Amino acid sequence: MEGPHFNAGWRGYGKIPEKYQPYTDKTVWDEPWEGTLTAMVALLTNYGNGFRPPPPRETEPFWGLDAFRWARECMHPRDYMNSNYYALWLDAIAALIDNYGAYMGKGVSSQEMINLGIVSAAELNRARDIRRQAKNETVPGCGKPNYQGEYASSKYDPKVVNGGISAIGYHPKFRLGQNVWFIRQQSSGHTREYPYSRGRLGTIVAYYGLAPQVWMNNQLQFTGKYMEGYADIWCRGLQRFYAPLYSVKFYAAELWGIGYSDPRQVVYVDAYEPYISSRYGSYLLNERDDER
Amino acid sequence: MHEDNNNNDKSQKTEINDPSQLPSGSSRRDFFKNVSGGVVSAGLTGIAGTASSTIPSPAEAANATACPTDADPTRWWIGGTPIRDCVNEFTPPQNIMNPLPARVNALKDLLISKGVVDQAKIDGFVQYYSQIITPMLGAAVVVQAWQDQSFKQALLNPPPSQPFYASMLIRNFLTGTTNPKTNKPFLDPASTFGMTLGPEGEYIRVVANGPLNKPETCPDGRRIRLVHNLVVCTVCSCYPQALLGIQPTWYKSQQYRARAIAEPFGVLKEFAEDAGHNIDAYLKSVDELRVWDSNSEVRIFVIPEMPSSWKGLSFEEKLNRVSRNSMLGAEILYG
Repeated sequence: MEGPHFNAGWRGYGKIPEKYQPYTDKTVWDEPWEGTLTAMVALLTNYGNGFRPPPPRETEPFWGLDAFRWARECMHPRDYMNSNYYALWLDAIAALIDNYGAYMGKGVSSQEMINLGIVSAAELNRARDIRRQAKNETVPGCGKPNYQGEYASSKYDPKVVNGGISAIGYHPKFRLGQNVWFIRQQSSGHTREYPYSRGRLGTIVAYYGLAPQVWMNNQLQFTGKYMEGYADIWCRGLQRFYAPLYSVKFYAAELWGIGYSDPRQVVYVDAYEPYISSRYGSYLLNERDDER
Repeated sequence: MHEDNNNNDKSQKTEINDPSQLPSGSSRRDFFKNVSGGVVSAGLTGIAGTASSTIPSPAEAANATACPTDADPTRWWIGGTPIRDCVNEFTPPQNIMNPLPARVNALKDLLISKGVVDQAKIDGFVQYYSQIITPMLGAAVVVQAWQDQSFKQALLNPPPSQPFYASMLIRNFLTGTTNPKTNKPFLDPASTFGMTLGPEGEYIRVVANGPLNKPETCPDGRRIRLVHNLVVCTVCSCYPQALLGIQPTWYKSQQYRARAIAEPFGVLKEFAEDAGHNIDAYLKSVDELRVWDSNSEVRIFVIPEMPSSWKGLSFEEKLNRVSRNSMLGAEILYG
C-alpha cells in the first residue's frame, strides 16, 4: 500500500538511535509491555492455535505475516510517522481483530476494543475503507478481481495450475543473468514491490525455487526451497497464490541517480515474478500481457 | 553532493524562527503554522476556492490542545503516541488515545478474558524470545564458519536445487554442537516449533564480508575483490530472528530503514564513530557495498570478517566477541 512506510531513501531523519543496545534478557525490549505485545502478535499470527502455524482451513479467511504487514500500513500517515515501532503493532492487531475477529469464534468485538480505549473508531473505519478499496484493485499478474474480491490466475493459482505449487516453481519465466524492469503500480493492498524499485532496471542473480509446505508429525518437511505464498494475494486472506521468487541486483545509480550514490553501492531486492517484466514501459502492456 | 539541498535549507532558515524562541505551550502544529501556514493556506485557497474558513484564527490556534508528544518529549519513546484522527494539520486532534502500555494491557486482559490467549503462553513467548533465541546462535555459526572453511563454503554456495540448504546445515550444526557455556546443544530441536531453526529461520541466505574467493568484474570494468554486506528491511523489520533474537531498536528505527538503503557508507561510518573507531581506511578498501532489502521471507545472514589477531583464540573466546551488529553488516569486528 502506498504510504509513509515506503520511506527508503528519505532524508532528514538524523542519527540512528541505540546502535549498541546490549543483548541480555532484560534489554531485549525497552519496556516490559513490548514483550507482551510481541508475544500476543506471535500467538495471533504465525503461532496461533498453539505454537505452530495452523493448517490451511479453506473455508475461512486466514491471516499471516502479510495480513499483519498490511494492517500496519493502514494507519493514518500522520499517526504512522508519529508512532514508535510497537505502536504500529498494536494498531495492526486491532485492525486484524476487527477484520477477522468473527472467525476466531471467541466473541471479541471491535466495539469492546473501542470502549476499552485500545483503538479508535476512526482508525478502524479508515482500515475498513482501505480494505474495501483494495477489493476492486488490480494485483500484479492477477488482473482485476470479481465482485467478491477474488482473483483468477492461470499461472499462480495452484488450484488451476496442473501440478500445483511445485509445477509453478518448475517453470520460472526468467533466467539467471537476465535484465528485467520492475513494473509500475499503485496499490491499496499490501505489496512487496517498493516505489524505489518500480520502473528500474535490474539483473536476476538468484532463483529461490518453490515447494509446498508439508508437515509430518508436527515437523515441517523442509526441502531447501522457498515455500511462502505471493504476498499481494495472501495479505487479503482469501486465496493462496504462489509465484516464483527471484533475487534482483540493482546498481545504486539506477535507483538514486548518478552523482547521488557511490558507484560501489549495489542493492539486492527480491521480486515475485509478477513484479518484473522483460520489456520496458508497463504502459505498453495491458492486463492480459501480465499473464503471458 | 547535496549542495542544492543545503542552499534550500539556508534560504528557509532565514524565515524559520527557532522553536525554542516560541512562547511556552506552543505545539509543533503552531510552530508549523507560524513558519509556513501562509504558504499552505494560499495553496489550499487556490485549489479549493475558499478554504480560509477551515483555518483557525491565531486565537483559536493558541487554545487548541497541544499534541501530547510535545508536552512530554519522552512519551513518544515509551509509546504515548496519540491517535489524532485530525482532518488536517490545522484542526485540533479529535481523539487522544491512552498511553501505549495501558492500551496493550487492556488488549491483553480482553484477549485473556475471551480465552484467545492465556498468560502462560504469553509468558512462554516472552521467555522464548528473550532467552532461547539469542545472538549467541548466530555467533556460533560465524565462529564455526571461520574455523571450518568447507562449512563456510557450503553455507555460501548452496546447490541451485536447494537455495536454502544453509538452514539445514545450520540446524545440523547447532543441534549437534555443545554450547561451552551451558554444556547443552546450542539448539534444542524441541524449541523450533517444528520448523528448521525457529521464527524467520527457514529461508536463510548466507553472505560473507571480506575478500571474494573469485574476484568479479563490474559492467564498468572495475574488479571486485572485497565486498561488504549490509542488511536492512526498509518497510518493516524482517531479519533472521531464529539466529539473532528480537531485532535491536536501531534496526527497527525509521532512521535506519530510510538511510541504510540509500547511503550505506554514511551509516557504516556513523556506527564506527559512535563506538570510537575510524573506519575510513576499511570503507576505502571496499570494492562493492551490497545492501540487502529483506522484502520477501528470505532472510540474509552475514558472516563478518575475523580480525587476524583472533587467530589463537578458542571457540568460546571468539563466541563472546562476535557482535550482533556485525552479523547484520552494520559494524566490522576490531582486533
